[in-house]
Amino acid sequence: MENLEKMFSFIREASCRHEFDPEHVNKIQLAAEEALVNVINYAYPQGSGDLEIIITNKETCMEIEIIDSGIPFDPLALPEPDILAPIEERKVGGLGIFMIRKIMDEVRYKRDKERNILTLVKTKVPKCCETVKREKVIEECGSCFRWPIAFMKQELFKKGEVIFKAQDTADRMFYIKKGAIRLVEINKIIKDGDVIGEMGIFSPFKKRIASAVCEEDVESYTMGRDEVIKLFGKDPALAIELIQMSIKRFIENLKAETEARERIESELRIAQEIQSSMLPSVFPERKEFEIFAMMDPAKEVGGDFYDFFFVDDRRLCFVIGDVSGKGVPAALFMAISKTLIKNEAKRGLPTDEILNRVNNIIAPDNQTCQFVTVFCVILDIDTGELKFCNAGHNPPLVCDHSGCCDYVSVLSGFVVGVMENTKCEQRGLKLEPGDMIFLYTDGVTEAMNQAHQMFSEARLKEDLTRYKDQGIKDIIGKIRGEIRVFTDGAPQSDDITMLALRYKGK
Amino acid sequence: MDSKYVVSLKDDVVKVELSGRLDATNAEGLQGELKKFSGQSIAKLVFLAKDLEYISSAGLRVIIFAKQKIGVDAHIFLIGAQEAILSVIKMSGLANFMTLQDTYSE
Repeated sequence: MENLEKMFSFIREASCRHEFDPEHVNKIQLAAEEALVNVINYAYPQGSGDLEIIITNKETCMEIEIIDSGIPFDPLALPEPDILAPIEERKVGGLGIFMIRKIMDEVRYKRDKERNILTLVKTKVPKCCETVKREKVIEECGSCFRWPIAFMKQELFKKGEVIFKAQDTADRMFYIKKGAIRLVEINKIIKDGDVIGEMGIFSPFKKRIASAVCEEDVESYTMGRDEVIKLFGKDPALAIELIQMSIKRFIENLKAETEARERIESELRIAQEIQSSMLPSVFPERKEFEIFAMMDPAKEVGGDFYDFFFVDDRRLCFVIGDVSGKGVPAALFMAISKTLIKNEAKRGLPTDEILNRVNNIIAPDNQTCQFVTVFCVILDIDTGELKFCNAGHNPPLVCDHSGCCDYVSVLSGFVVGVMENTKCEQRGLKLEPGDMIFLYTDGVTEAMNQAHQMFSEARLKEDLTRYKDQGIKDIIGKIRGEIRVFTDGAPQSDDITMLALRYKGK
Repeated sequence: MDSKYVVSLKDDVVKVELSGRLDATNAEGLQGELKKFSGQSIAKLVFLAKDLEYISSAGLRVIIFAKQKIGVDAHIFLIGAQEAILSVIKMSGLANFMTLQDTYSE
């Protein structure tokens, strides 16, 4: 016991030399005292013996080894005292070891060549980490550690090493002290002073979004669950700051994701505008006929289209189409289909030829299994004769001058764009002056209300019959209104497209 | 500062004035002194710690011992303890079982 004082001085001096602040010097001595007292009391029951203290200075820590050649005794094997137990029930033993564990960052025991070796390790808080003191807010600083390196685990990697792969569980964060890492899939470089994956420690269910490969040799400090737990035990205030910083970054990430999503949504809006502007909105004023059309897009860019153009002096071609799917792919497919149809039609071909040719151009290159339903009509304005071909589309309504409206009974051919050499047959019909033909897409008949009922062909026929005597533009407006009333606030799930032509005679 | 402890008893209050260090070198001595009071009925056990610079688990053990042997029904006070001492008391969990005060009046 007498030598205890000398041992204490030795340890205190060493601690001071290792630049621990007074508070830590005291604590280190406390831990050492516990260990030394244990040896003194238990190691040599027969009498006296040797006790050796070796202090090693390492770059990130100070190591104190307490060595005796007494009976085998592993202080770490003792059970921990219950510090929540009321004072009356506390057992006196075990408290010393408990204190050692609390104070030192690492405690190891081994029995080697008849000697007990107890190693106490205290990590040094680098000068730089002054910014990480409890009272100060952790500030962003470029070259300085933002992160409490003292509580982190150093990991070294060589150039070319893979640190983690995409879809790995992201359970630790990396602070790169030196070197560079490339995130392969997003082609981003992480360099000196950068941090990656910090969200991982508080959201262990997250997966890595990219693989990390070292571009150069890397010196990193990592923090995972174990280190955070230690941090909570040693310095709760600092741990809270860590959480606050993580939350801040979480919010920043969330903001960035929201902004990215908004950018995508605005791209969709732009795609929608392009789609609408592709569809003709100037309607020819001719004495032989009146024509009107509209396309009301669903929230996401869809693939409906209509078109009309003269193929020669007396023949007007008009088309309605519906591309499978939604979004930008559907819009692109629509643009291609519409253009090809017009191209082929302008050659003066009959409607079945037009669609067959377009089909054979699209189908071979079509990897995505998209398709388009088309109803293609050519009107001879001198005679009122309609020639048409249906490739999988909804049959149109025809209202004759006597007020009778009915669906055209037409055989439906196969849709356009899937298989080569599918055919659709051309049929004919004669319009008398005053007759009207009404084309639409399934966005009309399949419009749903909150009760999941559909607008239906029956209701469309009813409404058309009711409004048929009005101007073409008004008729379409009224039908659009009926759909709106019917759906009663339920969201529009598909493009709503209508095209109507009334033949007036020569 | 020199390490020493002064123990006194007045009515049913035991006062222990601590200065310097309370560690494995002198804790046993203090324990011996406090043992003398076991069996007597003590209401308060007051540790005056404003001059105490260092306490180790040996010192903590004395406090536990004191409570268990002398003041089973006694109220323990720790008066004027410095930050470093408080930190150790809290770390060990003993802070829950004593009253920490800056000053003590009869």
